[in-house]
Amino acid sequence: MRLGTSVVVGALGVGAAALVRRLWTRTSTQADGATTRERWLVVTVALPQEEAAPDGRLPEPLAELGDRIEVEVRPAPGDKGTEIAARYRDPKEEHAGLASRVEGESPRQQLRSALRRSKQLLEVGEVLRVSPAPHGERSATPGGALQELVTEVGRKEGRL
Amino acid sequence: MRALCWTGVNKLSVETVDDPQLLNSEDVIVKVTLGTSCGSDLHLIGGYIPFMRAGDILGHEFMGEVVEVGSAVRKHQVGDRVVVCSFIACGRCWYCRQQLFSLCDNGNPNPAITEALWGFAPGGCFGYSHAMGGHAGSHAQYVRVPYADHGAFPVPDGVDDMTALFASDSAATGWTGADLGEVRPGDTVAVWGAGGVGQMAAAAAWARGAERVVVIDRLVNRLQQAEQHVSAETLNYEETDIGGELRELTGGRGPDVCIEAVGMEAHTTGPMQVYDQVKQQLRLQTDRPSAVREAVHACRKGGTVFTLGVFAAVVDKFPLGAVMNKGLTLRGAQMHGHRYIPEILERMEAGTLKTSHLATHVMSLEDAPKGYQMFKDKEDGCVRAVFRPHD
Ligand SMILES: NC(=O)c1ccc[n+]([C@@H]2O[C@H](COP(=O)([O-])OP(=O)(O)OC[C@H]3O[C@@H](n4cnc5c(N)ncnc54)[C@H](O)[C@@H]3O)[C@@H](O)[C@H]2O)c1
Ligand SMILES: [Zn+2]
Ligand SMILES: [Zn+2]
Repeated sequence: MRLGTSVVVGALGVGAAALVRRLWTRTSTQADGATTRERWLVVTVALPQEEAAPDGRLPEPLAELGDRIEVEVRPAPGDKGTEIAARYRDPKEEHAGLASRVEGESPRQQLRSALRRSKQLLEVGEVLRVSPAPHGERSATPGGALQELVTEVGRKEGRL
Repeated sequence: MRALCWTGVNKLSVETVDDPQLLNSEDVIVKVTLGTSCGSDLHLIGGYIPFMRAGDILGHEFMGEVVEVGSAVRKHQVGDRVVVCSFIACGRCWYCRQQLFSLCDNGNPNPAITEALWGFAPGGCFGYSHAMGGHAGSHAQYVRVPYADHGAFPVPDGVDDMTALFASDSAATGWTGADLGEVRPGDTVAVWGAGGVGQMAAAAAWARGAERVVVIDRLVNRLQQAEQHVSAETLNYEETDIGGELRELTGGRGPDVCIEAVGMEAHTTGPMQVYDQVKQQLRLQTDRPSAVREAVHACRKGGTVFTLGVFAAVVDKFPLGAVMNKGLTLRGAQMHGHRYIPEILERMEAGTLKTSHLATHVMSLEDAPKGYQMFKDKEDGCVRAVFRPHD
């Protein structure tokens, strides 16, 4: 998939970055018909733009979401790498029900997870796994079930 | 394999669990030779950090031998004797490049909890609950070590196991406090807490050129260790007024750098203890910050207070006015061990850093629940309970 790369940003640097920041913020808080657009989800990858998205190519987890998402890529100020921002094209995708969220299947969770996995693939080449981890006897308690749920959606939730 | 598991608030048991596997290509499996209790575990065991699941393996301060290596590991081979940093960091993200390793973006596969608690997620840690990544702990016969080229360090031949063990966490934490607290040559440094972390912070203060180092606690055997093995002056807060004593010691100025190595279960004398304890039990405040309060008051104008002690969430009656009006720098961090372990191992090899005295009680892993009880109650002068998982 092709990127909506902000070429201007690459060329003009920080001033343009500030402009794009304003645009992002505006569109994300603006009412879009009856639906309010969710904010862009953004990660910063500690690589220069030509390595983070060579020729505009996106890492696999984002590429998989195809044309459902729009993506902006731009250099981060202060040599902090490259900012990758994404959101669904269709605002309706953003408003999934609670049930799908609990299951970790909501589109927004998938996007958040795709961004986090993309960042890790770019920075270290692999997504860090933690299970199966050895553990002792797990009794079936409500607290335990809740912990499990929180852990399962750990990459999909949060403040990103 | 055998492992020490948390099974509920204040409950531990040694169980037979699956062996760990290599999960990423940069992993190694370490056969644990020695592991030790740390004050941080007490906060977990007591349920003050409520993100443990029954069955989770505890432990994060350890050393051992590499027995399996992932395909992308470059620096380690089977048979290497290594000490492993308690925090898990990738070595390549922006934070790692700034040497702020415990803030690594790629060490915690479960960032949602801490993002909700603190705004952003710090890195991962062995055996430190699902909030810190859900990585299995090291109080086991074997442990999987992610990003091993970055987090595992070969132990020089001249350094024995019992010395090297404490490079993993307590010494590297002390170094974090003195370095980021910016101890300078000629400084007077006061350290609250004479546990493994406080003693190592005192040692690190000397290493950075401090001219006077004072360690504060109430446990006499620990204060004696700080005098004998770390050459610090000591104050017993049950016997003397710490603020007055520090002013007298420092020509009325107060210490330049105050390092707090006590944490969220701090003990104090007087009515504040009751107040803090009641509030903590009612969950109106999650942490008891009495040593930090004292440090903020005692610190000289324009000085630095560094919290090495672990805090989880909110505290009450925090003297923000003193921080602001005295122009203090208030700083804290989980340990950035990757940054300090090489220097610490060099000092151990040169014989200028002593740590093995912290291992007051050495036992088989099978006895670890008893060891933790002693460590918690500071019974029989226990400073750190050290476990041998293969005995
Ligand atoms: N920042 C990090 O990365 C990091 C790493 C390891 C440990 N820690 C934290 O450091 C703290 C100390 O760890 P430790 O292993 O030395 O623990 P420890 O329990 O062995 O020692 C704590 C000491 O503090 C003393 N103390 C209690 N209240 C005090 C007070 N009001 N004034 C002075 N001393 C007081 C206790 O008597 C005890 O000797 C803990 O909170 C632990 O979680 C932080
Ligand atoms: Zn520790
Ligand atoms: Zn990192």
